[in-house]
Amino acid sequence: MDALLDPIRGDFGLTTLISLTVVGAGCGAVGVWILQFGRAFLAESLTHALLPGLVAASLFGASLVIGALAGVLLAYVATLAFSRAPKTSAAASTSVTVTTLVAGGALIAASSDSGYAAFESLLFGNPVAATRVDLAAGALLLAGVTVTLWLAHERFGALAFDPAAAVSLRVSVSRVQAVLLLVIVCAVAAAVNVTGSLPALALLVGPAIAADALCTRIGRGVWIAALAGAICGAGALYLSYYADWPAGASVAITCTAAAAAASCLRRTHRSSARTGVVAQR
Amino acid sequence: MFVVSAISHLGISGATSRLPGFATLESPAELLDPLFARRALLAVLLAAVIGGALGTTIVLRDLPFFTHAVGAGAYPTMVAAAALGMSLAIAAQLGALVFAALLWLLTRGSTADARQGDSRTGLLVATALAAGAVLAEVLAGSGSGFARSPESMLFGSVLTVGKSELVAAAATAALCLPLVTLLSGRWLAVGFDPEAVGAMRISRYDGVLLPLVAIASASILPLTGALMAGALMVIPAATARMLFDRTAMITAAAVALAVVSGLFGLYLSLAFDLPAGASIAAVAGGLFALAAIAVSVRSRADRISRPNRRDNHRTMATASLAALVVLPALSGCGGSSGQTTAATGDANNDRVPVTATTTHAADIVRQIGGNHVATTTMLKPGADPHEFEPKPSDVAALADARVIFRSGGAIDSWLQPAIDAAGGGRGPIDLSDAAVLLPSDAAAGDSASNGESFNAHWFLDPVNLEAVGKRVRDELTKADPATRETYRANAARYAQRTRAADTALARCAKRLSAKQRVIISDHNEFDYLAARYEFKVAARLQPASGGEPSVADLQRAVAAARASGAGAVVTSAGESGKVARAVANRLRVPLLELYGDSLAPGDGGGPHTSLDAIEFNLDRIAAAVSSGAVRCKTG
Amino acid sequence: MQDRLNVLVTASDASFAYPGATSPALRDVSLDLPGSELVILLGPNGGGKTTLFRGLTGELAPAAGTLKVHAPVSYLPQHDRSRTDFPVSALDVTLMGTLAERPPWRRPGRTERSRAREALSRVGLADRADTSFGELSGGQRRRVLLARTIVQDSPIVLLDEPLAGVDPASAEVIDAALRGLRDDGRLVIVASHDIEQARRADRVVCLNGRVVAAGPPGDALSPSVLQETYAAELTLLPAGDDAVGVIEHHHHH
Repeated sequence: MDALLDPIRGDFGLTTLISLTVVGAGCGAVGVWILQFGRAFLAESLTHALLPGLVAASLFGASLVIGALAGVLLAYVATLAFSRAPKTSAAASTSVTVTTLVAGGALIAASSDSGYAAFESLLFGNPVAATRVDLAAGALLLAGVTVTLWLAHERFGALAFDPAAAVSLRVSVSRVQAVLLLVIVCAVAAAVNVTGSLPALALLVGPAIAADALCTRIGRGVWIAALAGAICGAGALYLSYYADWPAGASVAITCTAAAAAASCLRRTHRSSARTGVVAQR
Repeated sequence: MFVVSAISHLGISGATSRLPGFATLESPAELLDPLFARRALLAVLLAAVIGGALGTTIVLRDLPFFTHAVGAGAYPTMVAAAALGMSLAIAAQLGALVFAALLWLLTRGSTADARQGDSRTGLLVATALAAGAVLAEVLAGSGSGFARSPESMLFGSVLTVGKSELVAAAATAALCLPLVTLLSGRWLAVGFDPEAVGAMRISRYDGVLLPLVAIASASILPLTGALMAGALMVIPAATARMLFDRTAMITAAAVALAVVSGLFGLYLSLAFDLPAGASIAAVAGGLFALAAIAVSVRSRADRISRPNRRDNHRTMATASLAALVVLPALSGCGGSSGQTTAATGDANNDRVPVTATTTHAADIVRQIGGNHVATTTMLKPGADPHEFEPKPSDVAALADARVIFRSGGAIDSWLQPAIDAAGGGRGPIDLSDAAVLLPSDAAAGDSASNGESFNAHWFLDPVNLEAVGKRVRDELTKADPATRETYRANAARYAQRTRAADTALARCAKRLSAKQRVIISDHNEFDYLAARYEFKVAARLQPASGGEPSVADLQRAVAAARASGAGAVVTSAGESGKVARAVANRLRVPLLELYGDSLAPGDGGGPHTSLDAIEFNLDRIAAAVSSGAVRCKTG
Repeated sequence: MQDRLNVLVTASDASFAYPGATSPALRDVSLDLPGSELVILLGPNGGGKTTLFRGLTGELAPAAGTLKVHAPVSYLPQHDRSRTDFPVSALDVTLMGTLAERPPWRRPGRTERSRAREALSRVGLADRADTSFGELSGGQRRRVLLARTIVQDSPIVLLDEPLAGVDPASAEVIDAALRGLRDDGRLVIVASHDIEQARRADRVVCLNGRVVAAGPPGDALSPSVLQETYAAELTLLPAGDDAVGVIEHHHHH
């Protein structure tokens, strides 16, 4: 019991546990749709795409939070615009978006006379050091994301399953995609602010891959992924505490472990199931 | 627009006028006079050919994420190689191959389609970054601050390309071109099935594809920087994909577009003193946007009579015409305004051109050289040295400098490639040689070490400033014997001032009790200050390796700080991360944003000389730990 | 004409053109289609079948003339891009048909579920409701998608080549289900290449850029009409895919 409680009793233990669990659950749920729509590259890129907003804010002496908001907004609009380019896959348009945005940020920075310092340390959180404001804002944003996910669940499913039938089912493809992008942008912004970019990426893909391997129904998958995300996040606290590894890296490792374990479980389960099907036929 | 804003700031850097193109740009060819510019041209061409040739496959097989991720994927291997003393260039290739092999294993055999490949790449990137961080933590004992960030290990700039990197890129091009010619048809056969676009379905020939993209990416990244992976390997091909339907045409157009983006971006960079990677990426992105608009407009018109080949050519012609008209027009506007700033540098003509890497080094040089030297500072105030990307003027300043002063250690270890690129035969003068050094992870000890892992913030100790000032005097005298008397007098005056300041500060610090002289430090930048004035650093929040603290690390640090009653958390201005803030809040002590790596920028408040910085820092600390009772301003 | 109230689709001299095109893709369509009918649209690829469907779903407004659709439409597209790796059961897929009826915060209730099960039983898959979509055979998957269309419960049902590439057993079930829909009083419009299937319809509309003929199969399916429908390059094969080869040479001006 003490082994379980020791890390929490110490300084920052409880903060770390709460921030990782909350972000883990939120990101896990969003991750299912990131997996189904193939948007992991986008999620990874969004953390860099904030750069122009941040640089411009520091150049004009505005607060970094405003810069980050502007950056998020710009990233959202740019992604939406570039994704409309004809004959361009989602990955290619993401590549164009992030490269252009980061280049824009670097060019703005080059034209200012004071350097831009390590924005990441200013804006990007660290799971061990989330402030109450960060946590509250993150939790609020993720709650909004969760509600949106719940409302959009069936439409996301219909579009991911069969995009060609969307019109007939009266599902607006462009609206659903805009909502999907909004959800991803909000989740990434919340997660990055509370835990930093590496744990955010890991929590967005790892639990979802695990849930995908374990579940044959999307509805259950979202719950399982949220649960797996929370567990991966909480587990990372213990890994960081006992192995003495950085908290962010520990999150990535627990997420990878969860995905790997679930995939192995599925493989063994599947090979037995497959022989069953053959016998049935 | 960025050109205009860049131009408006052009006068700030003292070295801009020395670039050939700025004052009287007769023809673009003049921009290529410096050696580094010619090397950059060659590097851009090689990278463009590799990127353009492979880009078609990358885009049609949905590998952009993989291409972007190779840099991060190679991180753990590079950390290990750095610890083992292996060549980083070889380690990068090796790491890229390992990353490709892992991804292949993860996506092979399963019914994995693009969606799965995408998220698995994401997971692999996260894992690689984590493994690198953990490895850096584990290997931290072996010294050297290499583990700061994955980017700084692999990414370079086209402006600081060395001969060996060019040779490696040429070899990669020689490997890529025949393989692309032979195999791209087979790679794309899978990709063109609309159901399978992006499918990582592995055919026999695909075994070559991922490793080849990995190698190409790993040899382009150190050549041209992080941005270029997308700028040359993805965007041109994505643009070409919109314009053409046949793979041969897409490939040819991708190479052409990559070369055009590369050349035009490099031209903008040289002519307007912009970071090369960002300029090239901006041009590539602009071409993509133009083509997207052109194709959308046309296809809206053509939707019924499915555009036949002639229509496609017309589209292409429209787009490229638009690009050819708009881009030079853009550069034309910039060019004319560029000349207005030409005169700024001329006043410096009879001064000794000197380049210093950091604001502190530049300050000491100015103290000794006075107005007999024209000092160019490479790192802007407040800039993170680990994210430095040189501009052409930086490299040009290095080439023109009669003396190059570096601060030494981890702060400016990125300098060597830039000096090599500048083509100057002079080695930099390492100012840390003249200082008494502390080891990088000494809490408050006084044992000096001359190994790789010394604490590079020697300039926050007045005694070191005096010693280093004498060294600067000697070097300036060597470079400019005629002014030797002035340098000698300035150095003597500087020595006097540093000694006086040291005495005053020591007296001030003595007014604090031993109990009060306990602080917590975010990094190790204030170790020299603490050692000189007998402060105890109760805890350091970031490990010496430069990585992140573990939960246990942090709890130990906070416990130690609490036990010793530390009165303040000190960190560098602009770098106060959330960890430092959280610890300060937790312990209910003030968080002090002091000047560590860098002096204060421009006209604002804050110290502009190293001595002022020391005084400022000590004054703030004294005030904080004594609740305002003790101030150390000498005025 | 006595049951004019029951007419669900009225077209008079309707022409359809895609934006920017010089000539219409389909012109001079005049049709009155009542409920309780199984209508087959027969014609080559590019003949205007999908264009007419787009007009009926409201995606494409007529460039000239009028097209009036008096009831909601559901549409099963030809190219089935449904994913076999998406984690849903046959019942889940069928329930997607009820999506438009419910506000986003209402999950399918008991009535929706029983309707979905009933639709599945109409396509002979009542016992596979809880099977994963990906584990079904190709024909069964097409039947589930038809069930999804059935559950939409629209008076007008459009199906683009529902039998292409489907095993004979499934084709039979689908055919029966379509007749069942017709018997419910719906207007069922099926795009097809299959002349044999057309012979069993209530009405055939032959399209080749315009309406070549329309009426009961006995009247409409004369050799001359077929000749005109499939243009000069007639290689009249019942199998649809060969007609595609014919149409390759057919250019718009």
